[in-house]
Amino acid sequence: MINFILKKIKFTKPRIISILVVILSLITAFTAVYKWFEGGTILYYWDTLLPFSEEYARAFFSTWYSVIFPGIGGAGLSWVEYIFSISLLERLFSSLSVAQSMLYMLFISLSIITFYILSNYLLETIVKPDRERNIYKIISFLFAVFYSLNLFTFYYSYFLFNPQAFILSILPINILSLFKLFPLNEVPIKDSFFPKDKKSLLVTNRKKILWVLVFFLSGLFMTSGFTTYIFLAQYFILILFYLILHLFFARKKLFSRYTLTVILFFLIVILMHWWWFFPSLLAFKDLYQSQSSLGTTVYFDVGSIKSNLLNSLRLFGSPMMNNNPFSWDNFYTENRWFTLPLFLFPFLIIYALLKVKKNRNIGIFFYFLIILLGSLFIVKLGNPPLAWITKFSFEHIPFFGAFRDAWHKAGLFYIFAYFPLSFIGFAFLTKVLIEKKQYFLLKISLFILVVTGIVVTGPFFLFSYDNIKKINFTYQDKQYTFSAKTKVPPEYYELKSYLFGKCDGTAILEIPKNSMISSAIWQKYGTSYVGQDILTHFIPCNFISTQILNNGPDSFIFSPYMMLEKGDFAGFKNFLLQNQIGFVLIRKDNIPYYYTNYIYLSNASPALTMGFLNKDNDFKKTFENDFFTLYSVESLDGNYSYGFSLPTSIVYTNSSLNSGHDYVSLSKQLANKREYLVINKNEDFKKYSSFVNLYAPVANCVGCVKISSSAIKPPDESFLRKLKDLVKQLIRKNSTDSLSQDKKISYSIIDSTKEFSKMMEALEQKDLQGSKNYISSYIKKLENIDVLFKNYKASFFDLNNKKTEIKNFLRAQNEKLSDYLNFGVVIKNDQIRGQLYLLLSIQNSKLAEIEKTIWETDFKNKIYRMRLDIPKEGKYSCTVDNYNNGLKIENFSLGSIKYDKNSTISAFLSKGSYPVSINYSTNSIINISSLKQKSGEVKEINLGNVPNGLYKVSFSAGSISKQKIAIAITNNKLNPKILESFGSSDIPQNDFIIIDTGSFFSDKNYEKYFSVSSLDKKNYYLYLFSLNPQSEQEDHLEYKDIFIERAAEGGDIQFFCKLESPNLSSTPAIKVIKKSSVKYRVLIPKGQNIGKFLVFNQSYGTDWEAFEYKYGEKRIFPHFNSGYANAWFIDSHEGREINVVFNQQSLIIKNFFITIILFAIALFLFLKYKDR
Amino acid sequence: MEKYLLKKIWHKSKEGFYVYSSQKFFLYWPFFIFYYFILRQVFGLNYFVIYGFSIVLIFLRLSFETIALIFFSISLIVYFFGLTTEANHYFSFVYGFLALSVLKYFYFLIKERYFKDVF
Repeated sequence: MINFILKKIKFTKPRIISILVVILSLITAFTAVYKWFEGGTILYYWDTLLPFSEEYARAFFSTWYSVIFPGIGGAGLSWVEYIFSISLLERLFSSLSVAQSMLYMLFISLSIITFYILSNYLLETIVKPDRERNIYKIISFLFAVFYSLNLFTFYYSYFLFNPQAFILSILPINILSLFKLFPLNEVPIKDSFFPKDKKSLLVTNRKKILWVLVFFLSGLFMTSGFTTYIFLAQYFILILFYLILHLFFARKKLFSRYTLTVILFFLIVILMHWWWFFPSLLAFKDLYQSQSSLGTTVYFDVGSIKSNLLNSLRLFGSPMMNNNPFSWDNFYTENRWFTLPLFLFPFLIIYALLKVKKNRNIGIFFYFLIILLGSLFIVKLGNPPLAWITKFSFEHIPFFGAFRDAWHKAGLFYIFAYFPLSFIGFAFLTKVLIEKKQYFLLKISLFILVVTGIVVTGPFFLFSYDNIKKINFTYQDKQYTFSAKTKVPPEYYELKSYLFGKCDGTAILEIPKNSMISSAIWQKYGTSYVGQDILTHFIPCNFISTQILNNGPDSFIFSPYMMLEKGDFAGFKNFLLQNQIGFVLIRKDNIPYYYTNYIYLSNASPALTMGFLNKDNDFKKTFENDFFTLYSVESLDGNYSYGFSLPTSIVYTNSSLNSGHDYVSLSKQLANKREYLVINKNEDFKKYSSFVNLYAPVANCVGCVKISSSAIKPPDESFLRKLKDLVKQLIRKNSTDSLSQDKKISYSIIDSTKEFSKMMEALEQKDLQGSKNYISSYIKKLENIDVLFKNYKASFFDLNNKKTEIKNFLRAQNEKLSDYLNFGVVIKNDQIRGQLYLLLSIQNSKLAEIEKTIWETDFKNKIYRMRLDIPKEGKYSCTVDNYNNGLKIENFSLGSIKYDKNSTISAFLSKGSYPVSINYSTNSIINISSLKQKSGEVKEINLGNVPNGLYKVSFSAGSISKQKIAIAITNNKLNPKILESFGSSDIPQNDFIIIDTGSFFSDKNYEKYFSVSSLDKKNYYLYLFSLNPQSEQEDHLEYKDIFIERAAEGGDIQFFCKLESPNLSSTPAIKVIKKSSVKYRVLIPKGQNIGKFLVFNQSYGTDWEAFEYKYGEKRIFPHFNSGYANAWFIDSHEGREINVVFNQQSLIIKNFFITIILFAIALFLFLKYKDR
Repeated sequence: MEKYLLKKIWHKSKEGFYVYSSQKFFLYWPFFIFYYFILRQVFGLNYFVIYGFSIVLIFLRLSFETIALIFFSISLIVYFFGLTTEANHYFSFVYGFLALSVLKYFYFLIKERYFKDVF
C-alpha cells in the first residue's frame, strides 16, 4: 500500500523541499515544547483558559455562565473553536496533556510553514534573486523559526497559553492570499519559485478561487485569537489599508464597479467575524467598564519603563523585563552583550529599505514597513518621540485604552511585520554577496544570523532547562512554589464523580474564598497551580468563590465570608438557608498567597470553619479525601430549585446594597427567613409598597465621606467642556430663580471650587495678575455661600448635610492651599503672599465656625454618628453591629434615648429621620507615657503580633527640638546599626510598613495612620531614631503618650432596624426545569395563591425575561431588582407555567444564521464580479 | 519649470548621495558617524547638536534611509560603551527617519499616480 502511494507520488524537487519543511517544522515544534508536557502534565497559569470538562466547554455556547455563582453574562462564541478543538483532542486521546501539546505543536509548525510560504513570495516579488538557490530556502526557514519562536511568542502565546497563537500561526498565509487576490504590482508575478504543478495550492494567481478559499478559511481559523478584540480592530485596519493601497495601484476609476467589488470584499471580511463579534459587542460595554474601572492611563508610566525604542526595535518588550523570574531574565535584562546580536534585525530592516528603493514592486515592502512603524509607535507607549500623541489617544480616543498592555496588544502585528522586513534585508544581503562572489562574507553573515537566532529563540531552546513559570513564596516560614507545569490530581476527579448530579439546582460555597484567581499546592504529588479556579472549570456545579467583577453580586458573595471572619456562625448558616446554598466545600490544598486569597479573611479559614461545621447538626460531612471535605446543608433537604423562589418575605431597605457590609446587615435582618424579595429602589418601592411585610432601614454614617485635596484639579478648559458649560449656564440663567435654595448652595460650592482651582493654576504658572483676580473672585464666592446658607431654612439633617458639603470642599481647598504655602515655591510677590495667608485664615475661621455646630462622626473622640430614616411607623427591633475586631461598642443613643452596651434594642419609631450616636473604644497595641531618647540613639519597641487592620500612631512632644527624626514600623526586627546609616541601600525596604521623617518635636502632636495587611503572623517593631546622629547638638528628646491603637473606618459600625408584619404562609412548592443556563421553566401548581412575585438568584441583567403564554398570547412580566438578583411581578402564584430566558441567546442565534446567509450571498457576488 | 524642478528633486533624492559621495570622498556616509562624535565631543550631548546634525545631513541630500543607517550605527557604538540611554535617543532618530522615508515614498507615489507626466 505504502509502496503504491510512493509510486504514485512524483518526488519533484519542490515537493521534497515542501515535505522537508513540514517535517522540520514538526521536529522544531516538538523540541520546543515537549518538556512542558513530559509526564502527562499541562501548562496552566494565571489567565489560562482551559476546559477541564465537556460541560464547561458546552457553556461557551451560552451567553450566560452560571458556573461561577451568581452568574455572569458574556459572549464566548469566539472561544468555541479553541474549546471545541481541545475537547475533541482530549476525547480522542483521553488526555488533556496530549490535547494541549498537540495544539501547541500545530500552532508552532503552522506558523513556521505559513511564514516560509510568505517569505518565498516576498523573495520572488521583492528581492528577485537571479536564480533559485537552496541558501534562500535555508534563510526562509530560519526566519520562519524566528517568527514562530521568539521572545514575544514565548511570553505572550505559549508559556502562558494565549489564543492569539491562532492568529500568529495562520496570519502569514492569510495576508499572502490577500496579496494574491489583490496584487499591488501591475505586472503578473512569474512563478519561477513556486511549483508549476497545477494541483498545487500555490500554483499561479490565475487560480484566484483557491486564494479566496485560503483567505476565508484562514480568517475563520483565527477567530479564537480575535477574542482580544483589539487584534480584530487592527486586523480590519490592516485589510482596509491594503485594499486602499490596491485601489491606488490598480489605476482604475475611483467610482467604478471594481471599487464596489473591493468594498464588497471588505464587507465579507467583516461578515466573516460578525457571527461571533455581535454577541461580544452586546457584552462589550460592561466588559470594558469593568476592565477600565482602574483607568487605562494608570498603565502608561508602568508599561513604558522598558518599552523604549532601543528595546522595541530589537524585539525586547517590557513584559520580559518586569514579570519574569526565569534564569534567562538576567541575560536579557542585565547582560548587554548577550542581547547585542539582536541589533541585526533593525539593521536588516534599514538595509532592506536602502536596497528596495530602486525596486518597482515595493508596495508590499512599504505596507509591512507602515505596519511596523505604526505598531512600534504604540508598542513604545510613553517613550519619546511624540509620546504626547499616545497619551492624548489614551485619554481622549474611545477604547484606545485597550492598548494598555501595549507590547501584547500591538506587538502581534509588530512581530508580523518585523520578521518579513528583516528577512527581506537578509535576502538582499545574500543576493549582493552572491553577486559579488563574497562567499566568505556570506558565511560570516549566516553565522551571525544563527547566533542571533540562538538569542531570539533562547527562551524555547537555550533556557529550556528552566523556562516554566514559577512563583516562590513563603508562608509561616515554609517555602512553597507555584508552577505552571501541573497535573490535576485524582482527588479532584473523586470529588467530581461524587458531586455529579448531586449539585443540580443549588450552589456550593468554597472555603477559603478565592480572589479573581485561585491556587493550590499538592505536596503529595509535587505539583501545584495558580490560575482560574480549576473547580469551576472541572465540575459542572455552581461555585461561590471567585470574583466576577460585578459589584452587586460580588458584594453579595463576600458577605458569608465576612460573617465567618467575625465568628458569626449563626449568621453564616442563615445566609446559606436564605439563598438555597446546599453545600460547603472545604479546600485543604490551599496555602494562603497574596494574589489568590483575601488578606482580611484570615479567620475564615478552612480549619476554623470545619470546627464550626462539625459541631452543627444542620451540616453533614458527605465527602472527604486528602484535598477536600464536603458538607451538605441538611435543613435544605435537597429541595433546590435553581435559585427560583416565590418569596414570602417582601423586604424594603434603604441600603444601597453595594458592599459586603450591606448584605451582612440584610442577612441579619432576614434572620431565618428563606424565601425573600428585597426592594431597595424608590421607584420599585412606590409600585410594590403595599406588599412589603418587612421594613429593614439601615442607618448611614454622617461625615464618613471626605474629599481629598488631590481631588481638586485644574478645571477642564477644552472647547467641548466650555461649550457644555455655556449651554448649562444658558439653561441655568433661565431657571436660576426656580432652583431650590439647597441646589443654589451646591452650585455655589462647585463655583467656588472652580475659582480656587483656577487660582492655584495661575499661582503655579506665576501669573500674578490672574492670581490676584482669582483670589478676590474666590473670596466673593465664599461670601456668596455664606449668604445663601444664612437664608437656608431646613430640617436638622438637611442643614447638617449642607454643612458637611461645605466643610468637605472647604477642607480640601484649605489643605491644598496650606500645602502650597508650606511646601510650594517661594512667593516673591509680597502682596500675593499676604493675600494668600489672609485667604488661609479666612478658610480656617470658616471651618472653625462650621465645626462648632456640625453634627458628624468624630473619630478623634470615638463617636460614630449616623442618620436613620424610618419609612413606616411601628415597633422596631434595632441592632448595632461592629465589623472591626479592634473596636468595642461602649454605648449608643437612638434619638434622645441612650442605651448601654445592649447590641439589640426595641423601640417604637415614627416615620422620619433619627440621629444615632455610638460611642466606641479601640484596642491599643502600645501605650507608653514617657520615653527619653539621647541624640543618635535608636529606640526599638517590640509591638508583638499585630492583627490586620488600620492603626493610628501618635505621641506628643515632651521637649521642643528642631532635630529631624524618623519613625518606622517594620514587620521584622532590624539591626539598629543599619538605621544609624539610614538612606543607605542596605536597609531592607520591604520590611517597612511606614517610615516617616521630619522635625516632629515642634508645637503640634504627631499623628499618623498606617495599615497592617499580612497573610502571615509576624512580629512588628516600632523604631524611633535620629536622622543626624553625628549632630553636635546634644538634644535629649522626650516622647510623651506614645499610642498605637486600632482606628475606625467608615462602614466598621452598622446600625440597622426591622419592623415585621405577619409573613405570607409557608413557601409554596415549585418545580423548575432547567433547559440550559439561559432557559428555565418554572411550574407553580394550583392552589398556591399566596404571593405575587418570582425571584431568581442569578445576577440581575436586563436581558433576563419572564413570560407566560395565556390564551395563545405572550405575556411578559415586569422585571426589577431584588438586590443583586432578578425579580418579577407575576400577580399571583395560581397554577402558572412561567418561562424564564436570557434574551440575548435568541438574538445571537438569529444573528448567526443571518450572518451566514449574508456571507454566502456577498461571497457569491464577489466571485461573480471580481474579474469583470 | 515646475516639471523640471520636481524631476530634479526626484533625481536628487534617489541619486544625490551617490553623486556627492562619488565626487567628494569625505562625504562618504560612514565618515558622518565620525563627524558626529567630533561634534558630540565639542558641543556635548544635547538635542541641539543631534537636530543640527540631522538637518545638515538632509541638506547634504543624503537619503533618509542612509541617515537612519548613520544614526543606527551611532546608536550601536554608544551601546558598546554602555550608554544605553543615549543609544535609545539615537534610536528615536532611526525611527523618525524610517517614518520620513515612508512619507517620501508615498509623496512620490501620489505624484506619480496623479502627475505621471512629470516623471
